[in-house]
Amino acid sequence: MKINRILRKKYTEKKFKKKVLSRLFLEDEKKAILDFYKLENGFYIPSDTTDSKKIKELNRIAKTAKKNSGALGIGKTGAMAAVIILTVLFSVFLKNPLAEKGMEKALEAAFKAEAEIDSLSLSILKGDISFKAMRVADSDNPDRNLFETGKAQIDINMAEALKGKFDAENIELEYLSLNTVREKRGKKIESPEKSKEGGISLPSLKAPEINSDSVKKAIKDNIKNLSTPARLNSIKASYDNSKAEIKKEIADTEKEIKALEKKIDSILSVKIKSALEIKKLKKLASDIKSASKSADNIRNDIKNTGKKISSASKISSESSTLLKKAAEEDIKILAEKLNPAQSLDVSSLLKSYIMNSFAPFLTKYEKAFAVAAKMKPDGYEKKKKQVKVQRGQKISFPVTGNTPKFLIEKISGSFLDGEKQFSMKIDSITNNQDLLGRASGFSLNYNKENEIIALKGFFDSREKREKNSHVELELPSVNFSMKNIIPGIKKAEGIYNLTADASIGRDKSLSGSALIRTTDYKTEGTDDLTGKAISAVLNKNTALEFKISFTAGKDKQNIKVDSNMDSLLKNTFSPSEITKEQKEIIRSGIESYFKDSILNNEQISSEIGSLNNELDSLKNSIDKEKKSLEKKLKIVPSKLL
Amino acid sequence: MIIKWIIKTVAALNSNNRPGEVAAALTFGVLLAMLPSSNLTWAAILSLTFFLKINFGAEMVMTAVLKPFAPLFDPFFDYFGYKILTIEALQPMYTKLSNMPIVPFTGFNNTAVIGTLAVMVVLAVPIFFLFKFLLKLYREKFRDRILSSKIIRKVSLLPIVSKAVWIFKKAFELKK
Repeated sequence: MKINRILRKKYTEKKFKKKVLSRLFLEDEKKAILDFYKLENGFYIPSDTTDSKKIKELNRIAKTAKKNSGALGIGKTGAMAAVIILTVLFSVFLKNPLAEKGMEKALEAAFKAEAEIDSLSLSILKGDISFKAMRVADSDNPDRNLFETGKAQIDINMAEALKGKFDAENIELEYLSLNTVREKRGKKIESPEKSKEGGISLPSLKAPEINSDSVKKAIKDNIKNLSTPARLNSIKASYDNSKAEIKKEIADTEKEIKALEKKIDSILSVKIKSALEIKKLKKLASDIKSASKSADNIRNDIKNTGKKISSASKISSESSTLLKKAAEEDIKILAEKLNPAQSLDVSSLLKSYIMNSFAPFLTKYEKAFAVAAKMKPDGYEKKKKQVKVQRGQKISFPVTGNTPKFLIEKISGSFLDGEKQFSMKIDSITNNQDLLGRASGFSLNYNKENEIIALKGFFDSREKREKNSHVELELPSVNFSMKNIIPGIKKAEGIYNLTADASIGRDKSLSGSALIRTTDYKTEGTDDLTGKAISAVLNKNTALEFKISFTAGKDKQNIKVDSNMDSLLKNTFSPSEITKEQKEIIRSGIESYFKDSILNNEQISSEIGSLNNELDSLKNSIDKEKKSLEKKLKIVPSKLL
Repeated sequence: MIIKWIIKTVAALNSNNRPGEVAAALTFGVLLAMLPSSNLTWAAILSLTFFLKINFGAEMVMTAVLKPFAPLFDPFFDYFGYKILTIEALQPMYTKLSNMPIVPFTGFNNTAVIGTLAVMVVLAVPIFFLFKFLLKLYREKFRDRILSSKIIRKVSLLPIVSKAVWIFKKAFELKK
């Protein structure tokens, strides 16, 4: 058995202490070594031994002495080197597959469906992640992808990442397709099925008809503006006045006749015994004179009453002419009101259409509003709090710079959906816009042949913001076609431009406006009046505008739609174009409506007849009275004799 | 692993291991036990000890033994840590540090971390020498007595202990 190399050497006294003795810390071991060495002339010289047991023990001590040298462990340093080598090997061979697998698992956990990423490359030092493609299946429809992306590049700011902040400087997506068929890698992406009918669709407009009901409704709605009721009232009032006056005069005449009778009777009852009773004679003469005068007056009164009766009968005969005139005026008014252009009420129909279209969205917004109203503001308070940890407490120091904890500075990319192509850009996605000093913005452009849609807006969560979010939409020159939507129009084609904006205010209420401008109409109308009118408008006017304004929020939903279509239709479709038949319907409508108010000719003539009869009987009685007076006057001289 | 560390520690105490190695390991063990562990400082200190020629087993055993008692010392470290972190003159430096890369992960803004570090920097040297002195004292005065005591002999004859020592020795030999 060989003895350890350390113990085979010859040492100076100093070197022996340094190399051997200083490395031994147990007294018995030190003693064993000193027993093995001999000190000769200042040198420690190893002695010869063949005792294997002793050699074994010495070797053990030599090993521990060797082990006790130096401050750095070679084995541990070697292990560290091995770790570094393994890290390099990991980076080269395992990093990307593991990152790919990890990301796939994360996506699968998030979307609850299978996810695949192709050729992911992670560069920790550069802070760069890129992959060739990503597909996430639709959990509801495993045959289709929820989305699929092309090449993507994500640049992360590593300096900020080492501060514990996520700052993605740029995320670029080559394309993003939605609802694609899940195929084996490399197969062509199929576009979703196209809808058969394109273009916009308006609500069906019902052409109004002029019938007795619509006339009745129009009269009722516009009664204040009509002449007939006023004329009717004035005729009736003047007839009633005349009738009352005539009746009063007749009654007065009757009284006067009775008074005359009395006078005549008193004259006849006078008895004059001699011609010398001059006083009595004078009185008799004056009574006779007065009675005669009264009789003349009564006759004149009867004459005047007769004139009034005939004028009252004239009112009756003239009233129908006057009412006809009034009705003519009213027909014009009602015809205008019953004008199909008026009654089409495009704004209201469009409003109801828009309401119907918007209602689900506004209802959803109402719900979102209710949730948002309960939400706490963006967690600024939480940040200010000192976060209690299990041991000790964390003291927060001010954050310098303007990089928040989470920041994606820009995401840009394009989306493919069959022939349609979208390009989008989102910037400044962060957890702290105040620190960043700007709101998160986005823009989206859609492109298909000549159709371009531009959408842009922002989300603002800063403390001193005006609005929570704002979006602007622009659709220039979009073709549309509609069939059998508007009455009288079999087919209409044209171009529409849409500009719209919507904002969510700080109170989380929604408000916005939209302008739809339609031009370049090509229409195929029906031959009826409505068709002609609307065709005329759509062909003649190159621009139809619909202005929509809407608001929605807590307990309020409002949509207002203004359109120039109403005035264009009104101008084009004048009331003179109302047919004779329609005029007659209106006229009979007016007559039936005011039937009770119109004076009955038969009733009037019978009333006038009875008045005339009364007058005639008065005439007769006055003639009778007069005759009796004359007869009695003849008797008077005989009485005097 | 834990048994291995315990055996290594017992071996280090009783074998020809340099007392400084063991004392340093025990000092680092105390530091790692006292320091809150979920930060980069703790990981850095542990990594440093990996490069140094100290008895890793002794370090780990000391850490494991003292760790459950560490929260008892927290108010003391927290007090110092808070004092240090609220020194007005050092605020700009702390602000700068908290905005530097990686530094926030060290947990320097945690009162327990900074307090433990500050106290241990001062106490590490006396603790080191105290352990060294105690080890020497043990080896010189008590080691032989303890090893030759009846209790240890009987314990070492227990099948589980002898088996553990045998396994360790075998493993040690295989390693070589």
